[in-house]
Amino acid sequence: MTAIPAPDGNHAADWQRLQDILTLNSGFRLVFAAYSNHIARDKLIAELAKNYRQTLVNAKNNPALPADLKAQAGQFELLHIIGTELWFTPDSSLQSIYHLNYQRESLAAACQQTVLVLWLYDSQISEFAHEAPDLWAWRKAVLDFSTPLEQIATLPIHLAWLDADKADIKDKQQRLENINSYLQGREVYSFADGQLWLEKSHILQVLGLWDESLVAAAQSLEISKKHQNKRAESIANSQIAYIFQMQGNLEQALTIYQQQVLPEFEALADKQQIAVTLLRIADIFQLRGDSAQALQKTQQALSLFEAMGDKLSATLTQGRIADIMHKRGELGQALQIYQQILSVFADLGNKSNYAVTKVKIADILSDTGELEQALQIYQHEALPALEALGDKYLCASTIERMAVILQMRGELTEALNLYQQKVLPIYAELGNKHGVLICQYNIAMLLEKVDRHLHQSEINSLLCQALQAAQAMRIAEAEMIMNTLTRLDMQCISK
Amino acid sequence: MHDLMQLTDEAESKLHFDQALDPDADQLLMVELNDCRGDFSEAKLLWKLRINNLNHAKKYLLFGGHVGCGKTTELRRLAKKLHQPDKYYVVLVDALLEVDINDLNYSDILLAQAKVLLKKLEDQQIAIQPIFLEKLSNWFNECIKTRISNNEFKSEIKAGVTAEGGLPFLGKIFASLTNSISSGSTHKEEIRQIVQNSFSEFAAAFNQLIVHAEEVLAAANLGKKILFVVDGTDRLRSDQAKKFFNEDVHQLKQIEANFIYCTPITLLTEDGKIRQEFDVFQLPMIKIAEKASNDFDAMVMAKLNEFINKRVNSALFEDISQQEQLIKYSGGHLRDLIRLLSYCLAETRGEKKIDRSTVEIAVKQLATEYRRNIKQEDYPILVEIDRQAKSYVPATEACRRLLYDLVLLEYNSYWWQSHPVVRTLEAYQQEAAKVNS
Repeated sequence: MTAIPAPDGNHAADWQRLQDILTLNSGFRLVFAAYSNHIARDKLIAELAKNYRQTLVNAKNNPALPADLKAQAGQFELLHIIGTELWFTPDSSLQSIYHLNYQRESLAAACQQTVLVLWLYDSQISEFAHEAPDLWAWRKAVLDFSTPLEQIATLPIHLAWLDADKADIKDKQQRLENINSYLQGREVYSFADGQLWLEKSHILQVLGLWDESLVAAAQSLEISKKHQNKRAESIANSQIAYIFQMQGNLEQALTIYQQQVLPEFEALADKQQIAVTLLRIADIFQLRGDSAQALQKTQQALSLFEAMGDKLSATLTQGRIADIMHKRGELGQALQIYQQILSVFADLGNKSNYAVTKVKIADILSDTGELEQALQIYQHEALPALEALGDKYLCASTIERMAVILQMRGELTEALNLYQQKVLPIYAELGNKHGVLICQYNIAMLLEKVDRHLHQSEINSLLCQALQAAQAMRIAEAEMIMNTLTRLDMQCISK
Repeated sequence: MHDLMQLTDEAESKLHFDQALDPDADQLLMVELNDCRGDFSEAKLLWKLRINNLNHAKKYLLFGGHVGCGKTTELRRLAKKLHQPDKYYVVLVDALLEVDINDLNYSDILLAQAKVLLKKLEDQQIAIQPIFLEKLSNWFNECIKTRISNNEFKSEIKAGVTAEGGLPFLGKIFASLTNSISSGSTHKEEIRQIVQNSFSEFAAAFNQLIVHAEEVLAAANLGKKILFVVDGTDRLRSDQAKKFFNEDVHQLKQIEANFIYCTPITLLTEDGKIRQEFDVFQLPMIKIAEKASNDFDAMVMAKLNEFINKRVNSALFEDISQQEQLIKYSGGHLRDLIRLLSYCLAETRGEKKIDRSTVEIAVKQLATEYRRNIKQEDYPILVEIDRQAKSYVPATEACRRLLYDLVLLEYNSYWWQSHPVVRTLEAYQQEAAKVNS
């Protein structure tokens, strides 16, 4: 039997190990597979179907899991245990896990010719070891198929500080033109002019013109220094750090936040800005995969907002804590927080964040396999509210999520339509280059699934456009796109 | 021989207890009373506003005191004093005129501030660069105009805004929005929701205008920084005031200018949170005597006699002792002094002079009014506060209510005493007798 090549370059070693366990070993084989992304997991499972007789066993709300496993074992070479997302959450029952642990021997006896692959989030594996130590002791391997965060090709709504983006590209360009024409006529820059430079930097940043955005922020910084306004200076510095962060230059961004911005706001005793900077720092830790530090910084920010009595910011920050928990696979806790903050946003009449929290709840439902319910929320609750608010960016991001669900359900053409007809035009209209390139990548990946050979040239063209934009923006996504081009044996012809 | 009727008519016309004095128009009625407010010092207030160094971080100041103790008069006098080329460019926002004070939201007051500033800049023909107005205008177009669901209201706004652009255009927009809110129109909630949901964009746009306007005003020698003086917010009910100054403080503070907000006294007796967010300045009552003392301050008595005689001719009193009795029963509360004078005139009807019995009747009338606001269980509290030393100021919910209702008065260095007319009430005297026996 020929080994199946790794679907991507990241997990080649563990992918090979899994196949070795399947083909070379015998007897009871329980494999723990860590994952972080459903689509990536399902793709791996689908690949394995090429060589092995296998089936999925759903563990969700299934007290008869041990019996189901034993019943299926004789018929298949490989059983994938999925639907474990809510294991170890406060409201979940551990009964089926305890049963597995107690019935280790009988399970092993039934599964002599069958490999069990238990799919868990990374954070759940140690919980399992603690709660089911006997079964854990019989593990054959623990393999890592988790996807690094920055390689998940969806917009990081959870990391965004939710600045509404309502102006279309024409309005943004017009405003830029007016600012430029005003600033060109200035001989000496006033403090107010410095604020215009900062606004220019923000617009350029949204438009994906990050180098120019950096220059504008630096100019704002100079003007603030000249006018000896420390607060404005720190805000400009913070913008500079943010651009570095967006470009994937996390170390430089972190240094600016920690060594310049934070101490200055502390000296000014500006608690609001201290808290906001802590959240920015938390974002960087999260992007580096250090969720413990991210959580700690976010909790510090939360304490500050609470001490200030700033209910809105405190609630938003609680949402960020839930975001981190969600990313760590602590879905139950995250869901609980989202539900709590939802009622706060309702009380505050804050429709925008209410809708965003609905989106996040649906994200969790999607991760737990409740695709229909998640889709309902995206489509019938969140999207109409965001459309009414005119927040195009969040609309695009929500539609993108709907497309992901359609894709998970195998409705590839429908998903493709959403990307092509809704998401891409909105990002283009907003001038959001980052959104556009991610969308182009996602469309290319869908076209590959639909019919790689038929859409060969379109896939190539989309990936090259995305690559060109990513390289111009100097962002980490460029590498991901390059890897895909290599995998598909495609090239970009430089003009 | 004075004509009592004519003098009474003249006096009546000057006894308005529902209007604050205008520092320009009512100069004849003004009496400098700051020296009578104990250790109140205007210099302290000016220091809090960093008048000597206007390049400080933005100041958010609460100006509080008893209802009717002269807050608005003092605030307007102060506004006039601060509105100087080397000091502030003062923008006075009268919340009672601009918004619906019975149903106030932070977005209402901030829209009103924008409206008044824009109007003032336009009236004074201040040359604001269009680039600094554009963002506010874009905010209106993107967040308000396109989001309002009611077509009729859209047309109303369009009809109200006929100017081409610039300051007049924005001025009319904000006038139209503020008007819709203050008139309690059916679109009020919709506008509020839209403003609240796009608040950070509004704040950024408004801040940009403020920063530029300050530069232009300074260059034109009209004031170094903008200071918004917001009067009328002291009328907020206790629960509303708490929401406005406590819960919505972070929205209020997103606007980066200097502010003085008039505040109800109850808020200042709350926990320390309000003092973390704002600099607090409390206008004390006029102190006519120390606590539980009958030794009245001669200087204060002279000033208040002057205050009376600028309104009521001394010929209308049988002798000066009636004036002094009225001052003592007012507890130093100016509006109650005016009220007592007014009750006396209503009693004499220009037919006789104000004598001892007239004063007694006026005092009884006022005391009866206060009685309505006092619960039976309040009397022991009041008696206890009056008996105890100055340091006894139990900040309970009941005391806050009594302070708000003026049953309990607060004096400089912050000691409390019941209103003198309250002490004439039978229930109070019975309670006092019980305690003394």
